[in-house]
Amino acid sequence: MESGNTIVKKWLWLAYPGVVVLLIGFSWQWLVAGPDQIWQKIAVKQQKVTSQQMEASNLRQKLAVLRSQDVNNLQSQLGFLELVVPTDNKVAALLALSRQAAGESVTINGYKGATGGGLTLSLRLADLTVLKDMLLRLQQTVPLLVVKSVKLSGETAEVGLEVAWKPAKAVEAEADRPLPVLTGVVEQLQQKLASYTTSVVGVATTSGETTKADPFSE
Amino acid sequence: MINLLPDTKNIITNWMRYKGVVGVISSFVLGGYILAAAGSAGWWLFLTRQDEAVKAEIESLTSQIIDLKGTETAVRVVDERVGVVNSFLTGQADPTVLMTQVLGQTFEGIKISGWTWKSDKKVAVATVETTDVQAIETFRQKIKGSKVINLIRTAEGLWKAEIQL
Repeated sequence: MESGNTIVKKWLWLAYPGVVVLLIGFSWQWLVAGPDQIWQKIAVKQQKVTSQQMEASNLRQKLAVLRSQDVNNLQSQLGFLELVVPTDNKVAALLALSRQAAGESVTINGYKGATGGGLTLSLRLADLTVLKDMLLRLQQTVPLLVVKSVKLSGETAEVGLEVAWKPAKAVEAEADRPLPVLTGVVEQLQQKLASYTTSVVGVATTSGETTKADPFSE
Repeated sequence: MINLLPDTKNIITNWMRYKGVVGVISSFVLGGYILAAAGSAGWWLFLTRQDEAVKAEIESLTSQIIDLKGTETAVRVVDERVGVVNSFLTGQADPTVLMTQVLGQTFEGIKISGWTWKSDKKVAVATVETTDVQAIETFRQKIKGSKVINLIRTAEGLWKAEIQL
């Protein structure tokens, strides 16, 4: 009969797989399953790192674009854009441009203030063709004019006009928002509007406000 | 007499046959498990380092962008204004479109004596005069979508029609 000690020694080889099973069993929660499993954490962290890398890449691009910008050039572009669509109602420009558009073929009999800050022109002209030509000229001006109404009756006409204007919107820098792409946009507009008639009277406003020297200042 | 005690020697001998296989499998499992655990821990450490590095880079880039706040505001202001100009250039109703349509055709015996147009309605009403009422119908037929909304005969014998275009 074998002693207990000998029997234990004979079964001892099973301790090794036993320890392996125990090791896996105890660390299973940490590695494979359970709420704290590392593989899930790795997947989440990987996603986070990838999205942060994308953010960093966007920021690098944004920084490069910002460094390539010339503030003086932007100011002059804004000057041009505010000449095309002013930030206030430039009635004086409206008067000047309508006189220019009338030319020799149309007589302006009078001006009447219209609701919304516009004007109604009373005109004397030969016919619809002359009126059409004048309207075409009115729509090719800087600042832009908006024709609100047209009424022709015989040789007299009334044309309701407004200067296209819109107050400046408060805009703030936002580091994490992508920059708008401006490449060539203003140049295209400048090209498009190159043939437009420009009013020499562009500074008078209905409110009498003066234009800010630095349009970007707060 | 029946011996109910287990035959220990036989059981041990039977199990001993699997000793080698169990040992090899255990080693493979343990090796694989350790590799996976070490790999995961290493990957986790690598990601943590990357996370810290990219966070630091974002902070640095953000602070540099904030330093250029003035330029960014300028770009956004210009962009906003470009939108305003474009909306005026493309969004306004053109009063000359219908005029061009009418003036581009010849209407015998018809005189266009009036024209009414409003930007919000985008339709025009032409007043035409003629001595021949058939000319009004010809006019209406030539201008697609037009309709006579008013027709009167004056004391002088003229036909006067308002035609919506």
